[in-house]
Amino acid sequence: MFSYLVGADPVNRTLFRLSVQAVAGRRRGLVLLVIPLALLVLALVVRGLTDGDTGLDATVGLGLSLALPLVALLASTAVLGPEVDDGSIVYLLSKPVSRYVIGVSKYAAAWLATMLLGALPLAGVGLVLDPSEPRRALALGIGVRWPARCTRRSSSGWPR
Amino acid sequence: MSVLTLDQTSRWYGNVVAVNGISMTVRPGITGLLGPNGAGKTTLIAMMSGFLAPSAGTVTLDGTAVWRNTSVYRSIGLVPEREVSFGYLTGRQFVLANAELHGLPDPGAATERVLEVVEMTEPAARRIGTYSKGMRQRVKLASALVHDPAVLLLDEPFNGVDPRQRLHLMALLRRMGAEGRTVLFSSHILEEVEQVARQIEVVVSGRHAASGEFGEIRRLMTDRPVQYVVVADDDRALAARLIADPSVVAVSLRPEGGIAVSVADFGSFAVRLPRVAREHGIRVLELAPPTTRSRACSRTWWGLTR
Repeated sequence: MFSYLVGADPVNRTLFRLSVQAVAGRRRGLVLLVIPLALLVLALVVRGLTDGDTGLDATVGLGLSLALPLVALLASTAVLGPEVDDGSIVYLLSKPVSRYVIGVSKYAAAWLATMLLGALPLAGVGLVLDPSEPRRALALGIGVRWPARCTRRSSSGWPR
Repeated sequence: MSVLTLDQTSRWYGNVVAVNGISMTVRPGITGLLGPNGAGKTTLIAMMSGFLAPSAGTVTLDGTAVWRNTSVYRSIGLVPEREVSFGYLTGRQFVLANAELHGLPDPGAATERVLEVVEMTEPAARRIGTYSKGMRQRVKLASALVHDPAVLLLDEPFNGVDPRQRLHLMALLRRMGAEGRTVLFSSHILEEVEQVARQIEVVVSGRHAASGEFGEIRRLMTDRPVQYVVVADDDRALAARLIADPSVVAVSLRPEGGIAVSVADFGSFAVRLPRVAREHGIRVLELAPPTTRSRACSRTWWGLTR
C-alpha cells in the first residue's frame, strides 16, 4: 500500500517552491514577518526594563503560546487554504504526482516557514534576554522543533 | 489517439442526481458538451478527469479507469472553469510549474513552445493577477497543453471571453482537433458549440438528451416553434402578411399591442421579416427574441429529452 513511498522523493521541488511562494508572495507574508519581529522587539524592551528570569519567562511564554501557534497557523493556511477554497488546487491535482507527495511538499513548506519565523525568533528571544546562556536559547529554538506537537504541551512550562 | 468512454455513468449527491446513467464515447476530434446551466456538465467533466468518483457506472480512458489513477494525467489536459488564483506567479512561472509537475524532460522549452501556441509569450512575464479574462483563459489552456496531452477537457472555455479572443480560442481548439487530439468542451450556447464541434452531446437535467452531428442537433432544437414579439406601426397588416409565410406557425394580436409570432424556422424568418415589412410599407418598431428565461427556451431543451 505504501509502495509509492519507497524510492520516490516525498517532497516535490516544484510543489515546495510554489508553496513557499504562496506563503511569501502575498500580504500574508508580511504579517508572518511582523509577528517574530514584534516578539524580538518585545524581548529587547523587556531586557531594558526588567531584571532576573521573570522577563524571560513571560516573553518566552508569550512566544510559545501566541506567536508560534499564530505563525504555524498562518503558514499552514497559506500553503493550502486559498487553493482549496477557490478550487484552483485542481491545477496541482491534475498532474501525475501522487496526492501524498502533494501533501508532504506543502507540509514541508509550512514547516520550514514555522521554523524560520516561529522557532528561530524564540531562540533569538532567549539570546537577547539571557546572553550568558546561549545553550538555553538554542534549546528554546530546538525544543519546539520536534515534534511540533510539543509546543502545545510545553507552553505551560517550557523546558529549562 | 485516445478514446474516453462513459458507460452508464451516474453521480448523485445525497438525494440529488446530477448525472443520470450517461453512456457516451468521446473520440478524437472536437466534441461539444451542450446543456443549460445546472445540467450536470461540470459534474461530467469532473468524472472524466478523475476528480469525482462515479456513483455508478464507469469512466475509462482507452480502457483504464480514470478514478484514483493519477497517471492518466499524463494524457489528459484539463482546463477547469475555475480561475487560476496563483495571482502571485507570472504566467511563465505558472506554466513552467505545470511542466515540471508533469516531469517533462525539458520543462523550459515546453513552456516557451506552449506559450507561443496560445500567443502569450509577451505577457508571460507579468503576474497572473494583472491579466484580463481572456489572458487568464489562455494561460489556463497553456498549462493544460504543456505536456502535449492526447485528451483535452475544457469546462466552459468561452465564458466571459470577448468576441475576438473567442475566435482565437475557437481556432486553437480546431487546430487541436485537427491534430488528432480528443477535445471535449462544455457550453450552454448552441451557436458557440456548432462553430467548433462536429459532434455534439446534449445533456439536460443530468440525462443524455441527444447525440449527433451539429446539423441534427440544430434541427432538433430549432424545429420547435419559438415565440417572438413584433411591434409594428400596423400590427394587424403585418400579422396578415406574416401568417402567409411558411416559416411562421402562428400569429396572434396581443391585447397590449404588438403581435406574438411563433416561428418554426428562425433562419428564414430572420430573412423574411424585414423583406415582408419593406414590401408592404410596414415599419417594424420592435422585435423581441425569446429571453433565456422564457418558457419557449426551456421547452427547447426539454423537447430534446423526449
